[in-house]
Amino acid sequence: MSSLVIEKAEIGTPRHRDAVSSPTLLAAENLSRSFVYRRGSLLRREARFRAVDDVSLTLREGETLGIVGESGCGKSTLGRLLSGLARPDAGSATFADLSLSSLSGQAWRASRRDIQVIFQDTAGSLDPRLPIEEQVREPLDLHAIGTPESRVQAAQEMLDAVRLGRHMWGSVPGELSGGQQQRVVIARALILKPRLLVCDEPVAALDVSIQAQIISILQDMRSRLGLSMIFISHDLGIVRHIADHVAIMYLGQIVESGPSETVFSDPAHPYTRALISAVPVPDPKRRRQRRLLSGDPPSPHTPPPGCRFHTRCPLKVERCTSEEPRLTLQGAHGVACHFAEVAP
Amino acid sequence: MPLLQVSDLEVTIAARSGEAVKPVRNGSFSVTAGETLALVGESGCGKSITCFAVAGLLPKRANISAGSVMLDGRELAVLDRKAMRLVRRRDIAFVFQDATNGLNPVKPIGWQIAEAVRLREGASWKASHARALDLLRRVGMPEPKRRMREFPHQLSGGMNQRAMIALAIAGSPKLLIADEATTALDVTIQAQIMALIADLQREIGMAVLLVTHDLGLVAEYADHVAVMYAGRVVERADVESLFATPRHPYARGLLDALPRVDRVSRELAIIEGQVPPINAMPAGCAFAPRCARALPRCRAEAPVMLGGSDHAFSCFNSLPEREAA
Repeated sequence: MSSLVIEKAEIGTPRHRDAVSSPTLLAAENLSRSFVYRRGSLLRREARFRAVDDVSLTLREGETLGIVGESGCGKSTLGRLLSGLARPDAGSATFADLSLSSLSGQAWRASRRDIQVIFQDTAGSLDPRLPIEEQVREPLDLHAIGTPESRVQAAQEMLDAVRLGRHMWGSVPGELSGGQQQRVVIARALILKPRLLVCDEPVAALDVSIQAQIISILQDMRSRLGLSMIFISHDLGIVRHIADHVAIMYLGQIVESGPSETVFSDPAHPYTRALISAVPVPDPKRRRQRRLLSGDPPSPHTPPPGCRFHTRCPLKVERCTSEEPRLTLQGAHGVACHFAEVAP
Repeated sequence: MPLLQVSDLEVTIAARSGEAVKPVRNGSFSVTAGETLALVGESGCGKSITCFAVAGLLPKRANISAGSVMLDGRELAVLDRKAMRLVRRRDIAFVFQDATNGLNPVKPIGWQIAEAVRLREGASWKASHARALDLLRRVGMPEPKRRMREFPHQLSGGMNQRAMIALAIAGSPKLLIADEATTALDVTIQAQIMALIADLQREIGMAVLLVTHDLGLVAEYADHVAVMYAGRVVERADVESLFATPRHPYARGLLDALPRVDRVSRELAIIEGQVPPINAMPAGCAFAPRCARALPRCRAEAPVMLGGSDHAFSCFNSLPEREAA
């Protein structure tokens, strides 16, 4: 199963030239995580499937990495592994010399200052009865940072920074709209000045105009705080807009990775091409002939042998059904496809 | 003559407190047979309520309080529930966002489609089942024979959506209302479903009312567009004019707020604020509080639709017809 091993897949070079030499912040090597989908009993073996299968990647300081894929491809599990919220079965994730997979108790709690996560479901991330100002201040209280007065001030500054007006500070989450709640979540995540922010579908539930507001706040905070980000989304347009590098996942594996510009303008894996081609473009003059994929993605419980994409792939040949392609790199651009290997 | 002509539609909901709110005011649009009209706007703009009103599916407390809904020369706004049921059986089909809820959870897929065929055509049990199998094949259901006997919970979201479309087209409807029919699906499955609807549309000449917030879908599949904001249609045009020269600032804002997969976007434009709640509509133009082009007049007086029948908009300070290139 470990045919996807790559020597430290450098997920591309950053869009900003000066960041090329910036140090590695997060490195994942051969990460795997499986879950039980059927319990075992006396007569039946427990059945597991790998949600994330042998994934390696690197995130440099100040970069934004987009992780893209369809539902069930393992992108959220990967996000949890990379942020230390879940432990891998195999492989390791190293965050600034800290091995996330072996942290215990206090050390893990301390790592939360540096790594923060935001999710799509804002209501589930907030305390429904706590006024938002206190909610944003809470992390500072927990980590006992500064004096009580400075914490209040820091919380208020952060609420200003995410453009929540003073009249809302005393509100509880239920009184706010979805977009406003997401801003509270962002403010609370960033008040500790983390080095890494992992965003799991942060705008999927929001309307376009609200989506644009949140994205612009994230970009603004990224440059203000020098944040590194992992941005998990199924929306390719948003990922292209915000990420320096992108990793495309299919059934638990990375099938293509590289600088956003390369991957979006010159995709090499047939799945990436199909995915990009399936996104409708808001320009009626450019209605295209699409490359339609047939069928549903196979169940992640029983991934097909060989290349996992072969059941839907237009380029499939005999070899694809038996031999798993490795993610091979050409410069910063990595592709896991037998055809990409032979192409110049 | 258009197949569906909705004029000045107004929907009133009686709230428990005795107040009445109007989630749809001034809805006017039309759809021609064989064509697709997209109804776009953000959540809370009244898109779905408009569709429910057209299909006679409004909840009990809501009713059409003004305006008319003409389908093929027949007024639907005055029909009672029973009559509307017959209209839905024959002429209007509805595909919801959540197919799993649109299907009966305790009946096999095949049985449900066969029932629709039987009700419409009075066909025999055997003939209706054969036709159901045929329909499932048409919508590209994998292993249709096996799926006939399966229940909605055994199928994936994409397969349920296909089953729902098979159910919808079982009666060869004149009008298909697709209310965010592909929103919950992955893009590759969405592309399959949309291609399927377009094929069927060509084949049986049905009109499609496509409700979506995804302007990409609109650009690729719609012939005409009606943009809704806070319960009103604020701009109406054919798809090319709307995307090339939107006249209403809200339509412009929606287009500019969209990150694109086909090119590197500049800064996303931001529409500050949010859609006002229906029980607290501002006086004047409902978009004025969020509008960068708002004039004093906009806050006092509600604009009416201007422009011709091919490109109409309601704005006192509309964008110029041709923008400087």
